[in-house]
Formats: sequence, C-alpha cells, structure tokens
Amino acid sequence: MLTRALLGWLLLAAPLAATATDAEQWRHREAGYLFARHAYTPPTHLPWQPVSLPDRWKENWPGITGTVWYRVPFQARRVEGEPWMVYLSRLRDGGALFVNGQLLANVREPGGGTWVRWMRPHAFVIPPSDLRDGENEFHVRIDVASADKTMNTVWIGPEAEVRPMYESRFFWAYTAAQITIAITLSMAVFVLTVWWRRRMQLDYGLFGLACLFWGLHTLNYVIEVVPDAWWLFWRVMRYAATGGFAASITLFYLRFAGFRPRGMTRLFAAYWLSGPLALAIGGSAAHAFVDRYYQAGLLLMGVVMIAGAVYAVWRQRSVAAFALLACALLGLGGSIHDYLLSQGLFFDPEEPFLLYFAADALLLVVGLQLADRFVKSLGAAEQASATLAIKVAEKERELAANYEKLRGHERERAVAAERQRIMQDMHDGLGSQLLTSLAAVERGALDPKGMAQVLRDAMDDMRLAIDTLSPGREGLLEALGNLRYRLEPRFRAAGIELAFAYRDLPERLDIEAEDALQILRVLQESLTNVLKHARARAVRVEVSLTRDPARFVLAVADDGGGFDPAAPARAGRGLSGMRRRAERIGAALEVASDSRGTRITLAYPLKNP
Amino acid sequence: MSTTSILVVEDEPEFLRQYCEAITREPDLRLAGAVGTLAAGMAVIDKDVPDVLVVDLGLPDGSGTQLIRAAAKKRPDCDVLVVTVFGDDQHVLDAIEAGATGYILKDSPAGELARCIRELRAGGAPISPSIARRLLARMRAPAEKPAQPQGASPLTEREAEILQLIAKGLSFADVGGALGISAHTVVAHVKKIYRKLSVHSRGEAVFEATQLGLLK
Repeated sequence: MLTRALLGWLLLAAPLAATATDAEQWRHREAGYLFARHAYTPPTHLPWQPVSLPDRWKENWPGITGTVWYRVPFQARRVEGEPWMVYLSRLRDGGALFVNGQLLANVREPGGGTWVRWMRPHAFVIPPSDLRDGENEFHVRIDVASADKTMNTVWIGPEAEVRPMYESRFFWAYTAAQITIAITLSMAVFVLTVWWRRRMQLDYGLFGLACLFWGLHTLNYVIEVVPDAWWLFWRVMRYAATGGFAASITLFYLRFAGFRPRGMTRLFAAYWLSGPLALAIGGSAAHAFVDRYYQAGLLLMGVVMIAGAVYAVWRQRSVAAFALLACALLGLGGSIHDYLLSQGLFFDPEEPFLLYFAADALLLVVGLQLADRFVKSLGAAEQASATLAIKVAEKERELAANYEKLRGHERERAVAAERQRIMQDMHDGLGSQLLTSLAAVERGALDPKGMAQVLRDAMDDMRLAIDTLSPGREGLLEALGNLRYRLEPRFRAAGIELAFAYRDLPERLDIEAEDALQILRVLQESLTNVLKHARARAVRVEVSLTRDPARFVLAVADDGGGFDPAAPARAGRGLSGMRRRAERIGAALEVASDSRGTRITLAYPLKNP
Repeated sequence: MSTTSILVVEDEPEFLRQYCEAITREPDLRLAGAVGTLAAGMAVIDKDVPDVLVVDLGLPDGSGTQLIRAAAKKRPDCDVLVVTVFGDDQHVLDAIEAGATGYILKDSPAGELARCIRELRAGGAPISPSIARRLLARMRAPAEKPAQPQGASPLTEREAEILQLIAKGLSFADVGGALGISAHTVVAHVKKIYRKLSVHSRGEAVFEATQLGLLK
C-alpha cells in the first residue's frame, strides 16, 4: 500500500521536472543594468552594463542599495490576435515592469510599512499597442532596500507559449501550497483531536503536530504581504512551524526505529523552541543568524531522522521502514536544497522550493503507516473482543451445562428423598396397618365392622399423604382444613361437636411437607381416637404459634372418659405411633388424660420462624 | 310435601346400591333412576331431568361431566352432586365448570348423602379448602387477560373473601363468624360461586369459539 502511494506521488510530481526545451527560446538570460533613480525607463544611451541573469546581488553588488534598472531587449513578431506575454518565475521583491517605455505592471514592493516577499510567479499580457514588430525593450525597475536580492531570467513570448509555463509554475508554487495547507491543517485537527480524546500513543500525536506545523509552515508560501508590525511575529511563527515540524517528525522516526530514551522528547522540544525564542527576543537583528544557523540545526535533525530510518530498515526490513527511509531522504534532500536556495547558495535561484513536496510525501507515508497501524490495532482489538466473546459464550455454556448437571443431581436427590419418605411412610403407616389387619383377618379375629375401620384408617392415611405430598398444595393450613372438612361428616354422624380454633397464625406456614404430614398424622390419630374410644360430646382442636421458642403448637382436647396414658394396652398402637412421629420431627408430645377428658399437645419447633 | 327426585349414575354396583338405599330411606327423597353408564344416564335425562343428579365422573363409557353439562343445559336449576374419591380436585373443578353444585366423598357416612342433597336443595354447597383455593386461582386468572369479555374478576369481593377464608381451612361457621354472616349465607355464596364458574366457563367457551370463527 505504501509503495503504491509513493509511486503515485512521484508520478504526480513528474511534470515538475519536465521543462520543454523549445520553451527556452523565450527565455532571456542576457540583460543590461543601470543604477539610476529614473521614474521612467532610462534612455538606451546611458551606460548600461551587460549582465547575465539570474543576477545575484549578494555576489555581484555586495553592500549596494538604491534603485536599479534592468533592460532586456527582445525580438517580436506582431501577429493580429496573438498577444505576447512577460513571465517572471520569481520576482521576490516586486518592482515596476515596462515594455518599450510603457508601464506594464507595478508589482508591489516592500516599504511603506509593509513587508513583501512574492513566492508566486508573475505574468502580464503586453498590450498589442505597446508591442512593436521587430526590436523591443523590456525594463524592470527595482528599489533595493537590502542587498539580499536576485533578478531572475525573463520569459517573453506569445501568450500561448508562455502562459502554460506560468500556469504550471503558479500551480506548483502557489496553489499546491494552498492545498497542502488545507489538507495538513484539517488532518492535524482530526488526528490531534482523536489523539487527545483517546490518549493514544505519542506517535499519533507527533504525526498530528507534524501536520499542524507543516500547515503553518506552508502558510509562509501563500501569505506574501505582511504589515511591518506583524513581521517579527510572522517570522517567529514561521521558524516555530519549521522547527516544530522537523522536531516532531524526527521524534516520530526515532520512536519508529525503537529509540525511546528518556529526555529525548524534551531535548527536541528545547531545540525547537530555541530559534523562535531567539528571534522573538533578539528581534530583526537576530533574524539573519536564526535563519542561517537555527535552520542548519534543523537540517542536522534531518540527518538524525535518516539515521533512525536506516536503523529501522536494518532492524525491521518492512515496507513501511523502507518507505519512511525514502521519504526521509527525499525530505532531507528537499530541505538541503531549499536551505541552500534560500541562502542563495549553489542552486539556480529560480528553482522552486522542494521541501514541501517532499514533506507532503513524508506526511503521507507517515500517515499511511499510522493508519495501517491503527487499523491493525483496531483489528487486533476486535479480534480480542471476538475471542473474548467466544470465551465468554464458552464459559456461559459450561456454566449452563454445570448448572443443568447440578439441577439434574438436585432433582435426582429430591426424587430419591421423596421416594425414601414415601417408602418410610408406607412402611410405618399403611404397610404395618395392612399387615397387622391381614394377620387379624387370617386368624379370624376381625369382624366386618373392625375390617371396615381398618380400611377406613388406611384410606385416611392415604388421603393425608396425598394432601401433603402432592404438588401444588399450599401447605399445612390447607391440609389441616381439608382434614377437618373430611372428618366433619364423621363427627357429625357420631354426634360429636368438632371445633377448630386458630390463634396468631400467619398467612402461610413454612413447614416442610414431610414434617407437615407427621403433624397431620398425629392430629388424625388423635381425632380418630376420640371418634373410636373417647365417648366424648365435643372435641376442640387448637392451632397456634408461640414465640421464644418459635413453635407450632397443636392441641386436641376432648371431654370424653379419658384413659391411662401409662397403660400400654389402652394406649395401643395409636399413642406409641404418635410419639414416634413426634420424635421423628423433633416435636414434643404431651398427653394428659383424666376422667374429664384427654388433652394431647404437640409442639413443633419452627426451623425458620 | 313435595319430594326431591334424584337420578343416581354410578358404575360400581356396591356404591349404587348404597346410594339407592340411602335415598329410599328418606321420605322426602324420591329415586327417579339408578343407572351405571353414561348412555343410560343420558337416556334418562333426555326424557326428564330430575331435581338432583348424583353422578360419578369415571363412568365406563365416558365422563360424567358430559351428563352434567347436558342436564345443566336442559334444566339450569338442576342440582348436581359429584361423587368423588380422594386427590381428584381437578376433576371436581371440571365438574363444577360443567355445572355441578356439590361433591361428596365416596366413603362418606351413610347419612351424609341425604344431608348433602338437602343442603343443595336449600341453596347451599359444600367446599373444601383446596377446592376453594383452586376456584380462587381459576376465577381470578382470567381477569389478568385484557382480552376477556368480562374484564374484571367475575367474583365479588365478598365471594373472594369467603373463598380465601375457606382456603385457609376455616369452616363455614368460622367464615360466617369472621364476616358477620350466618353459615347458611356462606354456603349460599359458595353455590353462587359454583354457578358463576359454570356460567363463566361457558362464556369463555363462547368467547373462544367466536375467536376460532365457529360461532357467528
């Protein structure tokens, strides 16, 4: 992905290098110059000195200030409907342009409280009336306030030939800078916001800062006229932007290569601030110094960046590392080129500045690299969360399975306990009852009436078991009511008044079915004893709760003849059975009987009152 | 003195004989018929529905509820006494829905059947705590469904109160004492509740049939 992007960038940049050779015929490198304060074109007979363009003042006329005129003679052929054009690739400090003595244009010059430095090219159509067939003259008048000036070559030719050169130059020198500013600044806002909000790695922040600084730096190319009052601020910002870009991008490279020594960031920040601060404090006097040495230091940073990139390539051998190295080289090359160009050294002063193309490429590659990293980390995070989700689902399933197993065990246990209980109940109650009755019948000791009683008892037992053990029953109170409902007709038939009294009972009584069954058995046994033996007129059942200790108390009192609880023959199976049941559920059974009646009290301790 | 005509439908000959004896013993009761199958019972009520129907639910050729439904339809003031063994509250409830107004345990003492019949004719109805609880649940549940035509619970507050107390195990006399009414009024209420359940269940059947498009 990175290589392709890089390739695309190079292809895009290719037209820059393509300079048509036949365009050269319109380029004028020979001129005459004259120091003269004339407001209009000085006459030809004055002592014009030949000079070849570009004319670098610093070299040719060190220390000279004043007004200088350049005279460029050119041949033209007037053709109707084919206007001619003058094109200057860079007229840094402005000036007045004349054709055959007529003012063609006045490009704003510094002075009058305004600082001017034109980065854009200039071109003007020569009015047909001013153009002669054959010999023509083009003049430029420049007011020189400082010695740091250059007069570049001049293109003069038919508009159709010259304009495309101008347009292309305008695009690359000016429009491209605007585009760069727009893109880098919006990118910076986006990346820095995301970085700040998400507290991501420093690398993202550095990239955002580099974008921000580069956008600010490139403003330098499009803001060409600044009031003098703002000039210092403007330059401080320019160096801060350039230095900030170099520092943040170099830090990014070093971190990419794996260098993260403590204090590195601070060192870079310190150097970054030094230049702008020096300029801010020293004012315009410090400008030349900062311009030369601070920027040279930034170039050194570029070398460090290259070193980092090389190290990264050596260590990682990844496409990203190679691309970053290539861009670093491009960037450093561009920087050196621009530095030398701006210092008036070595290069043709008409050449465009290169760094910002290189920097754009650099930012693009770094941005792509970060985007790639971001997407990968996002993917990793997604995968991690997906894995997590799978793991959670797995655990959930395991848990559900365990729970199901547990429930299965619980069910089995409950079923086993229930079965055990019913078995026990049958063994103690119905079973032994039927067994003894069978023995009695076989030995002929049971008459039909006794037999009916036995069967009725067995049925009562069974009813009670069904009442308490079948599911969907509400508990002891309801079973108690059912028992009473069932027994009532029998008491009515026997002419015994059956009364129930409830005291302090709650809506529900939480007593386990097994224990409830035993309690009811005791009650049933007591009541049938009353029916069978007591010769009573009334029987009263009292049901109540006591606190401290929390107990469920059941009392059955009759006004019958009573019996001797100690006499085994009389007590029979009934009383001993009741005692056994009470014992089984941890309840206390009291039997009091005299000639006025019998009272049986069962006190069952509540487990969760 | 007008006598109460009674049809007994019971497939077990021993019980059938017992019931017949219990009825013929009483001068105010008249045995209108004693049959052992659903078909025979249907044939009897086809001609004339007696004042009281004593019916066992588990008949060899079908359920007694069919007979109850037919009798209740033909003669709404007919009293139906269901003969039941233990642990079949659900069947009792079904019978009440079909139109039964009372039930009696199969092994009740000899005089109990006549007493029950007289109580029924006097406007009362027996009810056990577990039946009361089931009735409460049954008649309250539809109120929670908004689609019900009746909307609210078909029980009045007093009726629900009575059922609650009975479900808790109180006798009719106890309930009457708690509510300041006579035991006789309590049993009258219970009979009304029974009638309501059967009407209610019929209404539900109509409602469901309409939903299904069976009735226009």
